[in-house]
Amino acid sequence: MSDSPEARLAALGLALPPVAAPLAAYVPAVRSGSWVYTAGQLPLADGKLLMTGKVGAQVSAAEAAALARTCALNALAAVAAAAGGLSAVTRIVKLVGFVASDPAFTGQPEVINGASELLLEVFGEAGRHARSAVGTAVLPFDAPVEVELIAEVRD
Amino acid sequence: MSSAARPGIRLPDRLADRARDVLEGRTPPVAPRDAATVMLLRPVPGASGTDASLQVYMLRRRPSMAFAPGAFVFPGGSLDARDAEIEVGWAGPDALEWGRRIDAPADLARALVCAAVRETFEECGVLLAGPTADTVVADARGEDWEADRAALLERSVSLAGLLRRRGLVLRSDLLRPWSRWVTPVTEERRYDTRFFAAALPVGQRARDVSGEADNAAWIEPADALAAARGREIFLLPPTAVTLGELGACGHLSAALTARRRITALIPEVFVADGAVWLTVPAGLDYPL
Repeated sequence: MSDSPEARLAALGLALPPVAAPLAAYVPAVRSGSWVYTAGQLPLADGKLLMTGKVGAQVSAAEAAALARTCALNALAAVAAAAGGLSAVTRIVKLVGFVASDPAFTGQPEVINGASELLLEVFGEAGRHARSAVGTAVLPFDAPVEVELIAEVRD
Repeated sequence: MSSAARPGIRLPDRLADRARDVLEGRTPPVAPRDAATVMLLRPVPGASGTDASLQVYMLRRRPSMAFAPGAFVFPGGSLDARDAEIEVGWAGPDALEWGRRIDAPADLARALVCAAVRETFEECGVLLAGPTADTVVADARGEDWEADRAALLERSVSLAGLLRRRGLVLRSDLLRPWSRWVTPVTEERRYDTRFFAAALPVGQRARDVSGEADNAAWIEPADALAAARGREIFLLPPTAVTLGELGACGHLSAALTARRRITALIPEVFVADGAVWLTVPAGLDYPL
């Protein structure tokens, strides 16, 4: 892929948002050697949660996938801030997605695909990652989805 | 999933295209703006006794408006910066208590109550304020009031400033929390709206003064719903659900004493059978 990740993002009509301020005693991302670990990212835009509720009850799977994509974008903003830009990312290593789920809902993978697909679109082959997509009872502030990333970065 | 079991409202093409763009990741969702809306209520004129059925004041949004053109709505609108002024004469529950009632931090709750009172005055000339904590302005008509209303509309004065100058207190106790609706995540203009109910103060008159409306009327909830079923008027889903709830109360005192639990209600959007559908949250009755 010849374009920079920033250019790919712009081509998708997206821009990195400001890094979300931590909601408690932690930092948005930590660099340790060649890796950046992000904190869990909520579907926030302009500091507001885009939706609240449980997927499979108040939130549809398709809506939740769109929210997961926003979470991934916020995670990329945290990675970029810690690594000195998205171009420093050599590959996405792992993504963990949490889905606040109605007990009967089992479509967590398709929800978290919303996040994974953004990473593939932005980084191409280097965006292919290991992943966990986990159903959970409730997330902070009743957010439907939360996503965290581990990225490998250039020295 | 649960939505399949609930009746859906098919989105018109323009909204459906936008919804697909968001659901399929081509367009990022936008954050909702805080807003307040007020159902002004009165007994049907000429009726007497506590069981007189109720009417609610509704405005028709001009067809040229960006959000919900042509829809019949309750007066209301977005929070603006002036609503956050802390120095406002206040009667009734304090900001902290309002926060508990409407599921918001105290500062936001106070601003939402201010916005509810401001929008009601701006859009229908009804002012939920009084010289003391247990009186209310008897008549907010006349040239001087009209000048104040115009100043609010052009944002040269805040509601707090207007009340201060006239020596009035905002009667937050006249508002009842009713519900909280958030526009679906797929839409271009999104609002996180607190719905309030209030009885029309004795002596005051609602007037069609808003530049945002081309029609205004007192109407019984059941009649508004019947007109919507007959496609004579257009109602947004939250308005229809709220009219159903008001109609079920039957009369004014029942509506004003109804116990309401306020949680965010977000219509759900999903794709099925090649179309995009919206459903009202589970447990609510969609009367159309």
